[in-house]
Amino acid sequence: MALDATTLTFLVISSLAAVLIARLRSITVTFVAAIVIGLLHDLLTPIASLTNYRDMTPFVIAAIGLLVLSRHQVMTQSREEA
Amino acid sequence: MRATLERASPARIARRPTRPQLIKAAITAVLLLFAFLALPELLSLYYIDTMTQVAVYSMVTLALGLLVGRVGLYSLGQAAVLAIGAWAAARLLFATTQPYPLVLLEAGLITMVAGLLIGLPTLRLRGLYLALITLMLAGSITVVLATVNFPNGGHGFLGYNGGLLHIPPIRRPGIAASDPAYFRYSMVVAVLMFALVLAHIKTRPGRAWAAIRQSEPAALAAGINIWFYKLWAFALASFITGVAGGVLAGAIHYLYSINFPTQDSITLLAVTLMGGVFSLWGAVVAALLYQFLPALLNNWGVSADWLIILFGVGVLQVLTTAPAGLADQVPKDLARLGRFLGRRLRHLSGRRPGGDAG
Repeated sequence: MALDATTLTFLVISSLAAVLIARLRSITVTFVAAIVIGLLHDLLTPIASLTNYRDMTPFVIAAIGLLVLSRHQVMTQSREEA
Repeated sequence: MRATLERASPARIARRPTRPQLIKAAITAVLLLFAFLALPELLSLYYIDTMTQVAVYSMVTLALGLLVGRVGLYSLGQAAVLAIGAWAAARLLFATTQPYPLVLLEAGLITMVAGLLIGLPTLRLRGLYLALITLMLAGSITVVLATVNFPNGGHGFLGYNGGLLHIPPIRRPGIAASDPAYFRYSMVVAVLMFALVLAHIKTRPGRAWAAIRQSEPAALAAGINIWFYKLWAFALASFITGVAGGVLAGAIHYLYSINFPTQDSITLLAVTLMGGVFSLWGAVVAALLYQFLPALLNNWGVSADWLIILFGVGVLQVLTTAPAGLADQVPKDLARLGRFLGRRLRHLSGRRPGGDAG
């Protein structure tokens, strides 16, 4: 990974994925999520058909995680509470 | 006499535009005519290309402003949606000989379907989570685009051929092959999109969105189908961004995934907020900030990267003091400045007869 401004910005975005899975509430969950994301990302490297898509790992996991975690959310909630 | 009386019935009065509204409409028409007729004659090719980009991105910021300002949905994935639109349009333009407007419409519809697929599961989320999940999806789309690449005249579903030595440019409509003509073309498309949004805001969906933005429980209590109208807003925004992507494809001729980094989505939200999300003019201001200002700085030999700092400061200012953005703030400030100067002038001219002004 080269050290340039763009990559570093992207690094923050993908790190957000781990924080999101913890819903900004738990450092432990963030830590575990980050480890899982990192592991999965690197485990996908040898799989030829998926290796180009491995950078998607944090986003996909965060998206799935958020959707699963928020499935019980109640609709009637004011904007401020969200 | 009878005709006058009939026309003066309450229903008619309510619909008749007021004087400020008429003045505003007149100014808009004059500005549009100026941009359409005079601008391509006055500007160099460099700035004409820049103004085409402004027209394209005004549609993108319009769509984002609609989501943020009218419905209260913060999306951080608009650059990715734009990329989908550009991809779809480029693919259609290489694969078929359909007329350009039809391709734009189809690209918009394809993007709308993609937007709906993204919107269906994510719209249950609100506020920060919606913003972040759209950012995550934008990140995924960027990765996918980097792998599949934009169509460059190759065969197959993806239309990409890495071995092509001579890459054909993406075609433009026959009537708008030159740069000035294409600027006018993109402006017409942009005006149509603005009209589409205006038609939505002034009618039932606009009122429903306003209610949802105020308070979801209240909107629900008023019998508004929140889910449906949110999805509608998302679909409309995706459609407009998709059309913008189609115009962008013709404007720059060659598309590369590197042109659509994920960070652009964040910058887009920043400029949209700075331009002003509660007025349609805000979208134009935002597009000028996003495309015209960097071009100006590049022309002066200053790095456009400095603008990121300006956008950061601008967003902070919008969030703290000027929620309606530049489109609201600048006219107010100008009026204030005018009043101040007028007072000073009166003050000075009032004292001058006395001999000593200092």
